Amino acid sequence: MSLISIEDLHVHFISTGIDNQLITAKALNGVSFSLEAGQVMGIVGETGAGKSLTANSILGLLRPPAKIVKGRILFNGEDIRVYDHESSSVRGKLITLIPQSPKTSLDPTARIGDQLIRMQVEHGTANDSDAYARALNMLEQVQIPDPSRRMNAWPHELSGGMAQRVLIAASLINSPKLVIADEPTTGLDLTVQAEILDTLRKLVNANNMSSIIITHDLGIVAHYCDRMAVMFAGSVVEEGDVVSVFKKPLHPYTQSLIASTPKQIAKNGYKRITTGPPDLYNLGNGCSYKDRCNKAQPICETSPQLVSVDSGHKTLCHFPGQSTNA
Amino acid sequence: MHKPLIEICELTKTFPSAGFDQVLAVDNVSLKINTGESVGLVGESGSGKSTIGLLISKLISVSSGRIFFEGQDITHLPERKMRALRSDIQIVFQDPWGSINPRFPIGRTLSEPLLLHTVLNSAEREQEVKILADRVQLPQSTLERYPHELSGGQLQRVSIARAIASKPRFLIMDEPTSSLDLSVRAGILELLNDIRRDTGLTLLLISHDLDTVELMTERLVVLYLGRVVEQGRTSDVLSNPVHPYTQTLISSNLPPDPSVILKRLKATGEIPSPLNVPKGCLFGSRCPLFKADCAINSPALVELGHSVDMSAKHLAACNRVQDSSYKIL
Repeated sequence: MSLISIEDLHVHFISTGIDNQLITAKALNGVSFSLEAGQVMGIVGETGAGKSLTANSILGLLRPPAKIVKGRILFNGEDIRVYDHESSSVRGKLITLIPQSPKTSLDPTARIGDQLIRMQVEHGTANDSDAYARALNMLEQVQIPDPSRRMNAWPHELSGGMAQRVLIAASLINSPKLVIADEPTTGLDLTVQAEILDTLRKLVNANNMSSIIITHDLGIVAHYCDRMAVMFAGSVVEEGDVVSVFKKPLHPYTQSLIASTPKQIAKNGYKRITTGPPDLYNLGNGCSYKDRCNKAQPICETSPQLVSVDSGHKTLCHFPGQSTNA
Repeated sequence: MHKPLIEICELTKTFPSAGFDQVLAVDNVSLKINTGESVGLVGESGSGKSTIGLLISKLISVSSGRIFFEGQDITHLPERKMRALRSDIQIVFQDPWGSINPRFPIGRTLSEPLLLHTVLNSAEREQEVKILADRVQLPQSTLERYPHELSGGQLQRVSIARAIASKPRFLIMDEPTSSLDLSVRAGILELLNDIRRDTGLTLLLISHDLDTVELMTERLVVLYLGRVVEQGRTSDVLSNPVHPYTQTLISSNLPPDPSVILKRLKATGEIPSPLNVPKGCLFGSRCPLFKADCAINSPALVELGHSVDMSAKHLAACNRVQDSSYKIL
């Protein structure tokens, strides 16, 4: 049984337009993937593809107008969609989040140590005296220099990289099963990024946790993830283990993504992408990528089915694996 | 022999901080940029890359040192005289949302530099704005729109169009693609490449993305805490880095290819505070090659043996390079 398995998840943003008509943005359109214990999954895609929305759905953080209209999220075989938000014994304890902006995600009015202790006490994972020792130990594990002094530090005294380490400590302190990192290193320097990811990867492996890393940096996926899912317009268009996806990308969007990296441009020249992402308020029938795709055929007006090419390497395309020449 | 279009000499910039503290943002940086060249400036945040861009474009004043444009000293040129040069030196900022007037339609944003720097009449300006939009591949309909109606990639195209409107000879780009998606980024880089090919524009690209710099520039300058630690041809520096900081930086880069095996070097500790820079080598506290004299002697840029091209010498500022036992990490 997978640790987490998302089945046909549909999330819509339903709001009222200027003419009082209900308008619907189809933000997630049948997202399915699963993750085993001990694995790290990378989710890539452009802005608006639904990466963060998928994470927020798992965490139960969706707020109106966003609404899950269809699908299930199974965690250890149990559907966690139905849990009451406030009394969740899963969120914050078994599934945790490393947020994107470290400087704004810590409580500015509490010392680092107090925040780490409060998290354990709130979730009932440690009593007051153990909590201090655990918090100190966690700061050590994420390689914060002089941890006993940092326990008394205020968030504004930390650099961006330090604050992100504290948040990693916070996300791991209750020994979760799944850690979701939403763009964990965006805005951090290259050297700091590599150290943070090394630390995260090491701790996830050491404790047999699973992790989902949301990013738009293919380099992070290539070196820190076991599996990857590529999202486009609210669908997972390709999923598989990292080595096979990079070696033989099946979906034309994945192919164009890999071709857009500076290294590939240097090798093969520029591949022109002419159209923007599709309008989620007005998604047509069929493949959502067809307007950008250079091998679109009449059959692409019908929705493609997920096809499995190698074991565990799947794509949502009528012509999987055919190379593009544009 | 190329003639430098831009030359900065021993440029230093300090910012006042709380009390009597001074933040040393740029420390004694010298650099020549030849006509038609594309130079990359890389370094961590706080290394002074953006400050150098602002200093050259004269948006902030220097603390000491000199800036020359085509041999003319523009360091203390009064604003009235500087205005004539502004059409030649343009800058594109990192954040397109924050650098385009939200109350102007795009067409007006693009006609503003034409109004200031050219003698075109209103009909000619309108015509020129249309040509500019075509140049950066924006549909004509965007000219009537407002910034909030455009995507980040489109806005960055507007920024570029605005910067090239006055036909500058020198363009500074401060992290032009760091807020953009990968596929959008590729489009912007292609556009810049086309503009350079067509106009022979001289470019200073400020970035922390080594892959982008490798693709776009011929020469590279690596900054650490406001000082140049290494410079040379981009290919020399990236494939044969000499300074331990450059090596650390390159080893932290993640190529988008899982078959590349990473060789990770770790710089221990944090970048020192620019409020209180250490004596001697600035990288000393984090350097794996540290020896006692690094805490005393501030290393100067020295030429390395393998430079061929005289205009792009490979230089590094490291006390250890001269040691007989020195070897690349």
